[in-house]
Amino acid sequence: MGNVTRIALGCVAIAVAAFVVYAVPPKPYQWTLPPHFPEPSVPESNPMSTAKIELGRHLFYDTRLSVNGSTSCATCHRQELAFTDGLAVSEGATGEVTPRNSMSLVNVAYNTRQTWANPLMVHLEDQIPVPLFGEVPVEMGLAGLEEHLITELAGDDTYPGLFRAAFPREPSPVSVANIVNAIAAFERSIISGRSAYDRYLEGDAEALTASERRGMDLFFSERLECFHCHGGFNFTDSSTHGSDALVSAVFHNTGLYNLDGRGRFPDNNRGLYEFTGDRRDDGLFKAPTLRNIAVTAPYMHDGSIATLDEVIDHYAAGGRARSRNTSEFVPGFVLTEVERADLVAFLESLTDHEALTDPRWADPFAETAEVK
Amino acid sequence: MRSVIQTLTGALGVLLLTACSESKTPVSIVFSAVHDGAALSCDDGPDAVRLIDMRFYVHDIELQAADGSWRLLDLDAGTPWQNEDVVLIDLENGAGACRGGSAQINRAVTGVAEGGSFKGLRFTLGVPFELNHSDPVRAQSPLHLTVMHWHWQAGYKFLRAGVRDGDTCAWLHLGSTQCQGMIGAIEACRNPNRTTVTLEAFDPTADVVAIDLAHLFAGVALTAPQPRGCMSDPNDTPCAPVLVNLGVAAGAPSAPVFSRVRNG
Repeated sequence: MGNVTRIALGCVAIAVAAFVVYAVPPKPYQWTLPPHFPEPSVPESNPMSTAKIELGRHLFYDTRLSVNGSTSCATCHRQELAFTDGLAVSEGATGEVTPRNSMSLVNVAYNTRQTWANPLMVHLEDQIPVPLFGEVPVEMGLAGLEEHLITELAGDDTYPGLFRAAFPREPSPVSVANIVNAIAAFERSIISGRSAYDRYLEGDAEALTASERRGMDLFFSERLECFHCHGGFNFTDSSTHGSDALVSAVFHNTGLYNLDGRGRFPDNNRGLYEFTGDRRDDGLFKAPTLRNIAVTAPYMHDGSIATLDEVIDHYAAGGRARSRNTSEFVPGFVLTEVERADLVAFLESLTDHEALTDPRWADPFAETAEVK
Repeated sequence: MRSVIQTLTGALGVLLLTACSESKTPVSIVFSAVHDGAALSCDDGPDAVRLIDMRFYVHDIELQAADGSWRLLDLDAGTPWQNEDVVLIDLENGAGACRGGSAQINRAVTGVAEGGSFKGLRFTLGVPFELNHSDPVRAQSPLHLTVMHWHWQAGYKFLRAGVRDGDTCAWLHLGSTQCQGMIGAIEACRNPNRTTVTLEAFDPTADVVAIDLAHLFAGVALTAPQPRGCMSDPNDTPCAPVLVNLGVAAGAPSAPVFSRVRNG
């Protein structure tokens, strides 16, 4: 084959490759959803892909995303605890303490709003910069250090390839925007509905014990009202699968504090009030998912309730510190000892043990260590 | 033939006259930090007082020409500190009491304005609403800096300033609060917290803009070991004087935060 022919063939090959990368749309991402789960909505600016999720998984578990190399997302979001950390409130890389309890990341793809009480924060992509770059408190402590982080990741053995695979159309894919997008895609992929309750819903009559079924009936009763705020396939009224723009945010006050007789919550944790300045919003927080609730203690926005039994005490009392802001869906109730045990049993049946160990969401750096 | 030459000469004359009266003058407006009038930096200041932070955005900078009219400063775009709409001023050098800041400094706003000499300055502290709620990870410099974004409040920190006196400290993050809508579609903010500063008789060739941190924090008790941290919350009583001092909350400031100082 002559040189000219070789060159021509080379040019054609390059042209075809460029065409494939730039003009042929990537295969749409295939969700693996439980049968009774809807498909989550995904922002157009960050479509899902397996390569993006894999990059996000690495970044999620990488302690280099902190100012001193001590902390990764996984530090406060541990898979074995349904991506919480078992603490009342969390500690950042430099020892500063957050005011709030770490939230579970299972099924966050369906969240209408992110974090405990932010009415503005719709997408996962909006939340991720807060722990990365926030200063009050310092969580991962990267404010002002984004250039340094980019340089470090771009010089790594593995990351450039992961970024190129995740963002094939970009000449310089290692960027803050892409770090955020990849982590968001990974979080969005953590979808699971394989608890005993789910198996029961799918037709396995033996999946729940008699006690658990009685607890389920109590949970969904008008007498207890749990389902009003913790209902639906994801046990929260803060879930959606529809168009984000039309879904309003929902926040509730369950009567945890009443410091001044007019519903005041502790200064560092007033919930929705911090955004609206309206006293009626004092102490209003999201009602998060109850899935995996047995492994995500302690409870409430500040971790101030340690056990499920104490949670039930709080709701049975109509709130441990009722105020005029307390939700109408927290009226209080009376339970027999058997009923209480049934309710707890039902809540424990919401644990999805497979999600806690699913290798798709596990630490890729631990895998490498084991192989060695 | 003569009439053609006359017409051409006349036209040329008009053109020349027009060119002279529309001259654009390069302008540099320099900012400096002071404490009760005394120069203040991360490494030096009166007694035990030091700067711990001083970074802020300004926009819509105007200069008053000799005829009294205000001329918008056409910003030199494309530097790391300026785009055509906003400028980031950074008076801390990351050293001394400013540890954790950035080493780079930017003291001046630069651009061109129509007119030869100027006798007044007007500018707004902050980021205009139209830019304030855009995505910082995709924004044009100087709006791309994570340290200047208030990620949980969906907007920028217009000003981050702080002062240390011995062991005690206070700092301020100023930005719009109580915003409504969603990140990506913010509708309005109940507390925009932008303030327009007017400095009469300001001559950019001879004067600098002094920002007085004693006046900024007048009425705010500096604290130790934890600093007094102020985040533009109108209901945060110990910090409320700062918002009054800046002119973003109702009330009379005891002394102006921004003033004109002749360059010595």
